[in-house]
Amino acid sequence: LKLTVLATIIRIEFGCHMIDPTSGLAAPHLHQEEAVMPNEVTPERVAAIAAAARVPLEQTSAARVAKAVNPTVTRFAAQMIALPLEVEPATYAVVAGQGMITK
Amino acid sequence: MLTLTEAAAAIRQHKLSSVEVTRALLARIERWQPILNAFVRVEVEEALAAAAAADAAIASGDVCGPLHGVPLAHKDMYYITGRLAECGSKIRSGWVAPATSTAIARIQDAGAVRLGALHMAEFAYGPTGHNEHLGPARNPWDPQRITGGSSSGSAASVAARLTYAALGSDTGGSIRLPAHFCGVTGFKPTYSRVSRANTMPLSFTLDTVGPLALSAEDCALIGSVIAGADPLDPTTRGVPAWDMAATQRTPKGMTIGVPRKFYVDGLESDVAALLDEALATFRGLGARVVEVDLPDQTAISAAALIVLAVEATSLHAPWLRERAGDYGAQVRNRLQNGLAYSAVEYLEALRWRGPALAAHLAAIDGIDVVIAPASSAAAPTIDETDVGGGPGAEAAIQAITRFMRPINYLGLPVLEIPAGQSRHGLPIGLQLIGRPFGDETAIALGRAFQTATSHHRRIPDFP
Repeated sequence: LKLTVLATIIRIEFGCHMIDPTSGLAAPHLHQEEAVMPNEVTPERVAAIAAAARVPLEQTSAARVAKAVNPTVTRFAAQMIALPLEVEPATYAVVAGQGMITK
Repeated sequence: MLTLTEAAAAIRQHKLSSVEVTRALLARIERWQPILNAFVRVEVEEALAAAAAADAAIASGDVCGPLHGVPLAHKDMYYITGRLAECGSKIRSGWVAPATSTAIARIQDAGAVRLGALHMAEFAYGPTGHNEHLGPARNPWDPQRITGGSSSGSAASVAARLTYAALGSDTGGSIRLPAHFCGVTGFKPTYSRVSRANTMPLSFTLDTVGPLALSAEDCALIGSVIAGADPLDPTTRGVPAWDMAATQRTPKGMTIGVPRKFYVDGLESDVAALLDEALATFRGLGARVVEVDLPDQTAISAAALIVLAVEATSLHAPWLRERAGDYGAQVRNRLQNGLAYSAVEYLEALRWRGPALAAHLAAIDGIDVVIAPASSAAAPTIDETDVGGGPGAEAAIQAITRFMRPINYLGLPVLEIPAGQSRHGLPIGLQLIGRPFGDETAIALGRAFQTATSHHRRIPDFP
C-alpha cells in the first residue's frame, strides 16, 4: 500500500496523469462536461440528504441551508478536481511526512 | 507580570511559592471575571490545595515536571475523569467526563495546578466568542469588543493575566483568531502533533490542540509537554519528538515567504503597516524575506468548509435528530448546513488534501515560514458581529475566518504573534505558518521577534 501511495504522489508530482503536476486539477478539456453537471444546491437536494440522514428539517430551513452553502459548493465544483484513482484521504499523511524536510 | 516560563522557574527556585502565585491569579480572576465572562468555573479551594501540595513537594525536593506548581486553566472541552466538561453547551450541561484528555494528563504530570474551566463557543463551533447559553466573552482591551472564538475564554484570560497559559483548540482558527483579537501568542500545532484523545471533537480531520500564552517561549514549553505520540490517538503515531533546541534557533539563514495574494488583499491600513514593520524586524534579525505565489486559497478554503461542515454534522447527528432545539440558533443552523453536501463532495475534499498540500509545498520550496495576517482588521464589536442564526450568519462567519481555514485544511503549524496595535489601541496579530512538523521553526521565529519587540508584553488596563 505504501508503495502504491508513494507511486501515486510521484505521478502527481511528475505529471504522468492528465492532472496538473502539483495541484491535482483536471486538464482544461474536461470543462466541456460542466454544462451538464448541476453545481447549484437546491432546497430539494438539502431536504433529500437530510431525510436520508434521518435529521428533521423544515422546508424553510432547507431553503436557508441551500442559500448558505451555495458559494462553497459552487467554488469547489469550479475547481474541477479529478484525482488519480489511487489517491485516498491517507495520502495526505504521506505528503505531510515528506514536507517536514525543510530544504 | 511574569510569563509562564518565568513563573515556573521562580517556583522551582523557591523565589515564589505556588500558593502565592495561585492566590494572586485568583484575586485577578475575582476582579476581572464580572467584566470578561472568561471562566465558566473557578475551582478556588481545589486550586489552593493543589498549590499547597506543590509547595510541599518542592520543599521535600520532589519537583515533578517543568510546570510544577504553575496555575493554569483550560477551555471547557478538555475532559478530566469525574469532572464537568460542558463544552459551552446546553446539551452537555452537567455532563461528567468518563476519562482524562491526554493533553491535560500530560500537563498535570508536568505539575500544573488547575484554576478552573474557560468560556468557549458552543461546541467550539463559532469564531467570535458569542455564546447563546453563556453570554459573550469580552475582550480585555475593550469589553465592548469580541474576543474571537472558539477559544474565547482562553484568549481573554491569558490577555488579562488571569492564567499564565490556557489550552485552546483550532479547527478553523479557534486558537489564532482569539490570539489575534486579544493580543496573546497562540500556537496551533501541525495536525497530529498533539493528541486529541478525550478532547471534545468538532472535525476529526481538522481538529488540533494547542496553547494560548504570553510568549513564543511559553508556547514552546507547553508544546514540549503535550506533543508526541499517544496510543489513544492513532493520528499521532510516528510523529517526531518535540525538539526544544529547535525553538531557540536564530532567524539568520531562514527564509520567510510573503504571499502576493489572498492574505494581503483587503487589509485595513494599520494591519498592512504592521505587516511591513514585522518584515523589517525579521530582516533586521537576519532572515531573508521573499514573495511567494501560493496556490488558490479560495479553493482550499471551500474544501476546508466542506470537510468541517460534514464532519461536525456527522458528530452531532444524534442530537440534531433528538435535541435540535437545545442548540443555539447559529450552531444549529451551521450544523444543518452540513447536511447539504453530498458524500462524493466530502470525499473529494478529503482526497484532495494530499495533492493540495503537495502543491503548497512546491510553492514554498526553500521557504521556512510563510507570514500572513490573521485577519484584515482588529476586533469588531460584540454588537456588530451578533448575527445569531440570521440569514447573513454564514457569510459573516466566513469573512471572519477567511485567513484561517486553508491552514487547517493543509494541517500546517502556526505561531500567532502580537505584532502591534491598531489606531484604536487594539491588538493585531500575525501568523507564522510553518511547514508540516515545522512547529519548532515557527516558534523560533516568533521567539526571535519577541526578543526584538515588546508587543507581547502589553497588558490591558482594568476598565
